[in-house]
Amino acid sequence: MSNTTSDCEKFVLLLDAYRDGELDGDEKQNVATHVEQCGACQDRLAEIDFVANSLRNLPRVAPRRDFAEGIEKLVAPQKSSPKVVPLRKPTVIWTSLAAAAAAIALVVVAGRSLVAPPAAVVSVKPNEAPGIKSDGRQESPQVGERLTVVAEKSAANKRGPVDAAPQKSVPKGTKQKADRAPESVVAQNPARQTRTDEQGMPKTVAGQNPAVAQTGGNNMGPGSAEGVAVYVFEGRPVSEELGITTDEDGLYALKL
Amino acid sequence: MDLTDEALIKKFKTTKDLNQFKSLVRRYQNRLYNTAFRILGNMEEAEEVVQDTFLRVHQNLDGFRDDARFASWVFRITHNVCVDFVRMKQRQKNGVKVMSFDPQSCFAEDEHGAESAAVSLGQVADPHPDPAQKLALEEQERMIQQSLLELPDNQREVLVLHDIEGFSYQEIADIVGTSIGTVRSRLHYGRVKLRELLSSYLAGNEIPTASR
Repeated sequence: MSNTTSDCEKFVLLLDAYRDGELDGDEKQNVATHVEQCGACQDRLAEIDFVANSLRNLPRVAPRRDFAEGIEKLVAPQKSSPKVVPLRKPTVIWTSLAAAAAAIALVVVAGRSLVAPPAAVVSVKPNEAPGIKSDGRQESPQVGERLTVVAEKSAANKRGPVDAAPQKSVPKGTKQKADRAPESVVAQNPARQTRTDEQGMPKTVAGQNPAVAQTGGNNMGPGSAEGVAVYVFEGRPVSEELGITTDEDGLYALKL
Repeated sequence: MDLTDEALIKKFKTTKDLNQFKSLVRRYQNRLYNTAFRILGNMEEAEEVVQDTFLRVHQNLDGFRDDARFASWVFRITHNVCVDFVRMKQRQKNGVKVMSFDPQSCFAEDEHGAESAAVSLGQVADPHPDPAQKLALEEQERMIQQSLLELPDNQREVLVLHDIEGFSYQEIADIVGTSIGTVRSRLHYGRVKLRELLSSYLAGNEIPTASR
């Protein structure tokens, strides 16, 4: 008997498989022989049988609906999904590309503003605002306007570095230096007026686009893309203007 | 004579006639639902699992090998959906429980649903029981279901697949993606644990107790 008891440890893990008919050959025969001689394992086998039968005798639960009835609806969306996905993906891609390009533009502009000489002086007002003159003279913006200067590709950068601060506000009456290095000026105080000097410094050219203008002047022909785009924002809180936008001409503007 | 599962699938692949697929759905929906309910303990979740299973079956039917057994394949999908479901619930309850699965909370979360299911179980088992018999039957079913939900999920699933659905060890190993030895072990320890849980409910009156 003691021999039988010591065998229990060996057989106890096999009792379930023995009961379930999952043993064959010698393994099955050895367990059968042991169970015949071991009362404890016979009880264990009875326990296993009880638990298994309790589960087997559980009533089967039926679903409250027939899944076959709604199968058309269930599988229908996957037919139309390929038509939808490609339409969305390009949008995401282009948005990402635009964001990446804008980020690069931000870095470039920021770098230039720190190292390179300022861009050409430009000041733009909305179309409706009077005072933009083709000779470069310009009246200051109206109250509430804010000018933001963005250099796309300044000709000044080609002329060598000039010690100049980044875009700054220009007090009323400030005149720009007459050397070849243009300076960018942002007129933020509506009461102040920004002018270019009389020796061919960049002038403001107000286009039909209310937000963008290209510089013109003696050094820059009308066809030159080297200029400064200026955005004028009206009546918006500064917090709304943070970010990067682009106009129809593909110019990126930093909203400072 | 009814077509075999595999013949139905072959026909559906050829004709794309959804009626062939519907036949498969009707053939398996009760078994799948019962399995999902016993594993999850919630009727609504079981319905979601079954619906998701059939959706995946439809999407992946082209990948079904002709020499495979469809029953094992569809139950494997149900197993995967249940695992996803449990993980999703786990994430939702993250911070409350860190262990793999909390069947008690699952049961407690929808105790009324489980009880209403138990009522329907009693009705299914015997359409005309006397009130006392019906009550006892319902209580026993509820107790077994609750005990089942207290098992670790991997043990519970093996018990359901074997003792309720009647799959062999090899089929269960294929369904849950493990070895026969692991299935055997989970089944053994799951039954031991379930017996302990049931004995606490029945105070040993109806459960044979092995002399240790």
